[in-house]
Parts: sequence; C-alpha cells; structure tokens
Amino acid sequence: MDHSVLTFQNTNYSIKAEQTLLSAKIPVTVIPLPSAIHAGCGLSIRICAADLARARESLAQAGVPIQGAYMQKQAEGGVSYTLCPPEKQVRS
Amino acid sequence: MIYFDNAATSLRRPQAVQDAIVHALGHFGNPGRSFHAPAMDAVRAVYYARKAVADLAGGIDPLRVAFTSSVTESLNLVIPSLLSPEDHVITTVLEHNSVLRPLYLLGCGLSVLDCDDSGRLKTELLPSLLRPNTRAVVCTHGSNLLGSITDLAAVKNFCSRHGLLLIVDTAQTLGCIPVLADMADVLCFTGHKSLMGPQGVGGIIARADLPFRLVKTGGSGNLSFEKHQSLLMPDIFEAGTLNVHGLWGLQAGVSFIADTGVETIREKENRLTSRFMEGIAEIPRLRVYGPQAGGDRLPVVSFNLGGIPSDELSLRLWEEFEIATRPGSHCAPLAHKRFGTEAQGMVRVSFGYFNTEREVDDAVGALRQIAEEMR
Repeated sequence: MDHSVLTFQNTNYSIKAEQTLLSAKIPVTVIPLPSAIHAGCGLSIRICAADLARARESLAQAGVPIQGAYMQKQAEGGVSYTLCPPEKQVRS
Repeated sequence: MIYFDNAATSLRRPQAVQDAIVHALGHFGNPGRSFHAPAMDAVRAVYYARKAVADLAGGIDPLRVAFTSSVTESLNLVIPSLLSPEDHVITTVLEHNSVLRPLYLLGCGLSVLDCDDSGRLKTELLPSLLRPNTRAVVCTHGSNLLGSITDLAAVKNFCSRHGLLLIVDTAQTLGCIPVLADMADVLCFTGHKSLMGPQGVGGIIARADLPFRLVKTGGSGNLSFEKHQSLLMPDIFEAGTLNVHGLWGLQAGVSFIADTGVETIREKENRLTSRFMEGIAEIPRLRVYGPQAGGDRLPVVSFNLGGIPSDELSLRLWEEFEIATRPGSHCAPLAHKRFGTEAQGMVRVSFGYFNTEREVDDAVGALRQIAEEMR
C-alpha cells in the first residue's frame, strides 16, 4: 500500500491534525518526522495515499495548514519521500 | 474544618481530578518529544486539556490556548511579549500584584482607574486616562479582594474605539462565571481555583493574530536546529516540558465544570454568598467592603469587625472554630490603600461549589459570637 506523509509547522498542529483526521474516519499513524524530509525533532502523520485528497479537505476545514505532503516509497537502500505538488495531492 | 479560602486555591475537588493526576503520573511520557505510546498519550492529554479549556471559553480553536505554570507566569509572559517600556498602559486599583508587578518591571507609563465604594470600576473615566502612546488596558475580570466583577463589555468597547489591546486577568472568574474568549484580546487564567485543577497549571487564551514577541525560549520538540523556537501559538509560550500530570488533572476539573454547568455552579455559589451576606448583615461593627447584599459579585466577601486586626480575627476563626479564611493584604495593595485598610487588612471568605449552607451558618454564628464577646 502506498502511503503519504504529512508534515506540519509544529507538534501541536500534528496532534490537531491527528484528531481532525480521526474524527473524519481517516486512519492515521503518528510517526517521527522523517530525517529525509527535515532533520531534527517533530511529529508527522502517515496516511494511505488514497486518503490524501480527503485528508487535505478535512484539515483545511479545521484550519490546520499542511507544511508538506510527501509520497512515501520503498526504494533501494531505504525509504524515499517525494513532495507532492498541490494539484497532484488533489488527484492522489 | 470549614474551608472558605477558595479564592486562594480550591481544596475540595472532584475525585476525577485526583484520579487523573495519579493516572498521569504512572502513564504519561514527555508530551511532544517522541512518538511512542507514553509520549503520545501525554501529547494527546495536553491537546484534550486545551480543547476542554477552549470549549469552556466559547468553543474556540484549542491551539489558541497556551499552558503555563500559573496565571502569574501568564501575565509575566504576555505583558512584555506585547508591550514595551515606551508604551502607556491603563490598569486599575483592583489589580493583584500578578498584574501590577509585571507592569512595574516593564517600566511602561501607567495610569490607574479608580473604583467606587462598592468596588465598581469607574469605566466612564477611562477616556480621561488616555494618552497619545496608550497601547493597552490590563485589568482584572473580578477582584480577588472585593468580589466585584469588571464590566468587560464597557472596557472592550473603550479599547475597540481607541485601538487598544485588552489583556484580562481571569484568575477569579474562569469556571466561576461565564467567560468567553472574545471578551478580550488575551485572557490569562489559573487552573487551581475555579477550574478545580491542581496548583502548577495556568494558561493564556489569545486572539489568533496577535503580534507576540518571543520572551521565553528553549526545547520545544521541533525546529531543533533553529536558533529560535516557533512564534506560533501555543508554542511561543511553551518552551520546556509542560506539567502534563497537572494538565490532565485540569482537564478533569474543566470536564466536571462542563458537565455540571457554569450557571449551576454560579447559582450554588451565589446562594452561599447571599446567605452569608444576609447572616452577617446585623452583626454590629462588621463592615463589608465591595458590593453590598444583593449586588452582582463573585463568591468572595471581605470584611472587618470593628478595629480587630484581620490577622487576629482570622486566627480566632481558625483556632476556635476551624474556619479557614484569608487575612492581610491579598496581594492587592492599591485596593487596600483605596479603602484605607493597609494596616488592618481585611478578612476574606471565599466560597466554592463544594461548600454547604451549614458551613455558612456556622461561620455566621462564629462571627456573631466573636462580636458578642467584644461588647
């Protein structure tokens, strides 16, 4: 299954995002901010790629700005993250 | 023992508050610092506590609530974060030192709004205190000494007309009377009084778009390689590990208030206050300060009996009747000067939701007995 990873400006937004998506019945997993995306501490949200458009809509309604939405792929030598442009996020 | 010092801190709390704190001590990790279950339980607990306070304040965005260690810390953060020494600020004669001292420390220009003999702030005089560099009104929502309630609608109207910030100390009001976030730009609150939480938790409820400057910094769980932490609410005021154990207790206290209803709590405390006021009305030489019987007030009543120093009267109430009251100056120096009680102080009783009419009657009886013995 393909996954999307959402990052936020701070941990508080990450938790508000988790609660918002759970209320919208979108399964989520909170994961540490992947160092391949940004070095340092923080929490991000992993969802099924198929839920990305709905997640974006729910978060926009709740006033939770997404800092970045990434496609997570298993690649040779590890996991890779590709930034989704907004139009692609809507179609995903 | 009869506990009538609820304006200082609540003592009898819902059992759920104690249970929550004990649970938190055994289960919660560091909120927002990792992703494992104990850390996630903690960070979600903080979010639920934010949401509980946000719902109580009118259903605002939980991220408009920042947590601190006390209302005093909240005011010490907010005042220098928004104001500068070059600014002029209007405050009031009823303020606690938690408002006055941060303003004195900032060194801004200061004008003090007076109150009348019933403790009502003379809001009609606000325009006379304006200066070209007036930037804010910083005031209490309810006097911790007199129990009088500030007409915040009038103050906010004045601030709106003149482009001033309104920063309000709700130490005696949030959880006790209806308080909504849109009553001011910033509300500073404490968790351990009317919100029935433990000591060591307080917070800031702020408008979403305020230009806060960073006045406290440190570990925040993100932006680790930046020199400065996030300027976003609530991060800007939350450097360091939050008191998650206390906040989970606060969440339980606020949930109790939500389930019970602020209006129900207000009605009960009003009933106790009125009963006390009526009971002491006929005691000779007993003078009540602030709103008189029948007036709108908080469940706080301060008084003196003849010329007895407040510490002596409070001590007699405790030693002879096991009634806990608060003598002295109540960290409200300007109000005591206003009423000429710097030397004598006042004896303050303050009622809580878990007090009873029987306790009120016993306190009235004790005061009658002491007054009789003075004859």
